[in-house]
Amino acid sequence: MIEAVFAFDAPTAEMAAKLVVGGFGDGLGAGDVLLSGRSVDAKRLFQEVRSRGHFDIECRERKTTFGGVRNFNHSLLMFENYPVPAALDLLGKLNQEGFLILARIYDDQYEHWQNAKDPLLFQVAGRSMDALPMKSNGLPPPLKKVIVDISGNPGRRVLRDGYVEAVGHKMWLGPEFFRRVPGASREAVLASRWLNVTERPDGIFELVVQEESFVDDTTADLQNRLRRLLFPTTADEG
Amino acid sequence: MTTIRKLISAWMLALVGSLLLPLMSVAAVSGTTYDAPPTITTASLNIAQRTVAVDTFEHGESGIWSMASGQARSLFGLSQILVAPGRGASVWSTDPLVRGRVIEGAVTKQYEAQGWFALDDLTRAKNWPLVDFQKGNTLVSLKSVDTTGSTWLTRMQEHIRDLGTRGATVGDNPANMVLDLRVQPGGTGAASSLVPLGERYGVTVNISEFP
Repeated sequence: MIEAVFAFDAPTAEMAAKLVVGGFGDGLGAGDVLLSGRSVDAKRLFQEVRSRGHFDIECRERKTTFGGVRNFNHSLLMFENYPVPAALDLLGKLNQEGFLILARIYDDQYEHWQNAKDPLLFQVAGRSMDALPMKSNGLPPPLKKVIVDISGNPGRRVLRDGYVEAVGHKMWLGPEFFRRVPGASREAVLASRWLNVTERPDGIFELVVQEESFVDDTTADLQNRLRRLLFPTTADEG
Repeated sequence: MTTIRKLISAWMLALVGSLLLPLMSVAAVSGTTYDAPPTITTASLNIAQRTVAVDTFEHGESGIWSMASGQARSLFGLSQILVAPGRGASVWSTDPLVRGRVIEGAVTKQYEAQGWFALDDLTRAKNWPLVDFQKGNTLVSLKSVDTTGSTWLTRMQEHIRDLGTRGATVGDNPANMVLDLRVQPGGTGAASSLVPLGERYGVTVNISEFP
């Protein structure tokens, strides 16, 4: 999976949908594009996307979802079953106004369990929570309950104001990343010899930590090190 | 001509039904006996601009007992009486509109007992169109779904993205957004994929069975 984080409403859902659908070329026939599982024509699709401000588009077995996280001042664009070059091409086009904050590739299963807090998820999968740290979810009754404390997990994903704190074995950082993330430094990233860093012509930094996705805790040290480099003021907060 | 006669008959039936419904509600509640003392919750429904009292029961089975002989539903702007499940039938076997209102009525009592503010239609329409309850900085959207259906998952995924995209503030601070999802007994597993989706969009999804 590829997750891209943009500034809220930049691009708009409609702009993103037009680029996603346009990326499939002119040969699309009736029924090729599904919006939230329904076949719709292009005109209706863009009308609905404009009105909702988010979308879930499937075309030729590739799935793209877009939605805002207004309370945390950013938007998400997710690619499923997408070849990385095709996704990067779209990200480059969407970044023309410079609002890409970050993008990363992650392993879906690893991400799921590293961020699973609700006991329901463990119950459904038949997994034990016995060895896991627990804490209150902090909500008032009747919503109050004990959940798994994931704050020490190297693969945790944390919503922050203006961005998402998370790492991946391959990442792309837009210029906006360094404006939004407290303490983040272009110089520090470029100086990190343990990373393969390339600065693209469009100003996006491409980071390659290793060739394979993070899939378990054997790479915990590497993940934590990357987190401390990119998110120096919050990485140790959990 | 036959069609017009049928329409007039339907309208007459609806008119008589709408007058009788409130009486039937009262009569059913006052005339029913129970094996065990249940907790009766009365929810006010506003269906086709007509308020109808519906009772549900905590502990044991839920049902629209006070409307044992019918449910109200809008038909061409008029009310129509439909056959309702009999005594002891689960709320999950009723019309989705009625089911939602019944569950909302019962759950509202739970929230209000814990000091939450239930946002009425007027407030909701003005400020938080997707939100049902508020306490401090936490806003809750309540939904009920039967996970044996076919379209609920897409609808709930869209609802989560709606909540995330619209967001909300309480006193200029970003609110904690919560989706309280009530499902039929045995239905929590099918809905569990909504939990991580909600996390991604800043919405805590809390899934539990009703009753």
